[in-house]
Amino acid sequence: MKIALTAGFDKSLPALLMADRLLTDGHAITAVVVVSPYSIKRVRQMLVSRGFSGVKKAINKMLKGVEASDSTGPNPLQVLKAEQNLQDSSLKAWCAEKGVSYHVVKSLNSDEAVSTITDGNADMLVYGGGGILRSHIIEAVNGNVINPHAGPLPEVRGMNAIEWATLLDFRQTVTVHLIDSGIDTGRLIAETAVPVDNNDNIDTLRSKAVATGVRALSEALKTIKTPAEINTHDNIGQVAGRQCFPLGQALTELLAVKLNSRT
Amino acid sequence: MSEPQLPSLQRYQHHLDITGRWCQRSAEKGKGGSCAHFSPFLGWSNPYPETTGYLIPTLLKLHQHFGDESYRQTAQELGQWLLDIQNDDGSWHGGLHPAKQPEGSVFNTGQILKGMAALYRDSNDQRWLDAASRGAKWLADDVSASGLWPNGDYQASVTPSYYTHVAWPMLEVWQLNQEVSVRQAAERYLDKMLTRIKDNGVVSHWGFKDSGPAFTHTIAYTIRGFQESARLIDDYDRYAAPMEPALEVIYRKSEMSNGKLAGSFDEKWHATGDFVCLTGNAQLAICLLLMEAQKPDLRLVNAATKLVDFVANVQRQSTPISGVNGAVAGSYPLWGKYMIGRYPNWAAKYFCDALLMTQERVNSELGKQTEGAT
Repeated sequence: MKIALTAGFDKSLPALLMADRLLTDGHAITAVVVVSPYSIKRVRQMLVSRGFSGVKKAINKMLKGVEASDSTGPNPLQVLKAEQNLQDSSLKAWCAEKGVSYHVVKSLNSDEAVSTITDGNADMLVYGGGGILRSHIIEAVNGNVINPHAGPLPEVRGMNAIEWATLLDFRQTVTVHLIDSGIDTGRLIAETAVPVDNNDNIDTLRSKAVATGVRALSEALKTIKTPAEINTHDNIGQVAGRQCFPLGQALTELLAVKLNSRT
Repeated sequence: MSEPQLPSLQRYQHHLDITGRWCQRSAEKGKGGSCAHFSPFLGWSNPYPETTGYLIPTLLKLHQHFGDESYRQTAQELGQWLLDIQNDDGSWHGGLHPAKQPEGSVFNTGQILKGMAALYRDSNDQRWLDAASRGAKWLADDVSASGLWPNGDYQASVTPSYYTHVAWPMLEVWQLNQEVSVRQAAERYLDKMLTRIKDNGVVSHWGFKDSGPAFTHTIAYTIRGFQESARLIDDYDRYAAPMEPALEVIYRKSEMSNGKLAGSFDEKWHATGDFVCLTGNAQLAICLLLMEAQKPDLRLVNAATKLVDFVANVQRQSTPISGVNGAVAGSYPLWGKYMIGRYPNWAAKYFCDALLMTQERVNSELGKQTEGAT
């Protein structure tokens, strides 16, 4: 299939892993569309929704590419990177090496982003981050926007999904699904268990879920020959649960206690 | 009282301590009652009977929480002052004390009933219940057949919807004295308010004025009044469930703003003004936790903690002005629309209540997690 991919920033390791894996799987990557981090609007939105500590963490992630981890074991995303024999740490460098069209846009909902994706005649858009998508970009690819979500659906919609799944005692899974106009309410395509163990902390849990999402996306797209096949899957919009948002300090501490108490 | 285990619980405990002590100072300066507010420019205000009344249950909870007898002592002294200024007809006047107009005020009388009921439950001393019964009867006698109080509001021409915060204490008194006419009057009003709920969860007339936006302070009054009334008559579906759509909106807005919730909303839930009503934040945290108590979901607790955390983050602790340290401003920033430039005693009261509830809920969850490990 011809696939375009989004990313929230240039050094997004999950997006890089997805792009590389999909290319290796035999798909054509028509474009990588990265949202510019240097937007006052974006920083302001982040400041409002995540606070100062959230912005600090996000900037750290943008600069280093991987979230810091105090795990004694290897970072699951780095393991995946080694497994794919991926040398690059930026999407820009990877695109240059692979001959893939690379674009930086102010917003994924801009006309510039939409035309980049449609000009490449992409069958499908893989969402690797970059903010909430509005209907016109979804419609531009006939609703074929696919997302590896780091938690079980329909139970855990929104952010910090694997963390919430753990706190709320839902399945610790990732789900591959279509994006529609709601938040994580589109058709379900596949669900895969996250290999959680008793030594996991919040950081490793998250990294494992993201790494599992990359693998699950790759596997799901191997089974789908045409985008039309996706539309036979269940729509979850009608049974969607309460949307999740980033864990505050108290709930983060509770999750840490919960994970700790399993050892 | 054992040492809180999580850093966030320790932080809540610290804020509870400094805010509780500020409440004590508001009573020390209050000429018998608790000062309505402190202003850096004008100092401590005169005492406010209404909020002195509902500060009492908070002080009694602080006594239980900290084991500090001085909180109980203050609660009783404030209660005695309220007995001394009760009108002969059982009502209490509105505004600050001394009042320009001594006529009874529906809303203010209702809030004072909470103090009287709490003191009675704490001590079993009949004089508190007698005063509460007289006040509740005065309120009940004035409710019309259609369920409204025809007189007594200080700003609006129709009975505001946030008077659910009057029905609640009436039902508190009914629970203690079993006076059926009081319960019937409260239900008549609450049933009338149910008809004001719109499809988007908004209850029309829930602001101070007949039209225009409502502060989160009175939005929370309205919701909490319904929730507590439902608890007292043991019928969640009748009065509390209808508040869920509004609380879902508040949940989302609280999360999306990371606790920096807009201070007022119009009837389409559009934020009006760029300020936070801090007491509204604390009150709505309580409302979310009350809904969560009925339908457990840690997502609601998360939103409540963010609302509380925001208030804690902007609370001043080390200024040279003792009336500011441990106080909670009306608005953030201080010059925001709600209680401009002042630190009201009710903001401190609701912050204490929210901290107590949040601590309790997080602690109970912590207990479950650590219990599961054994």
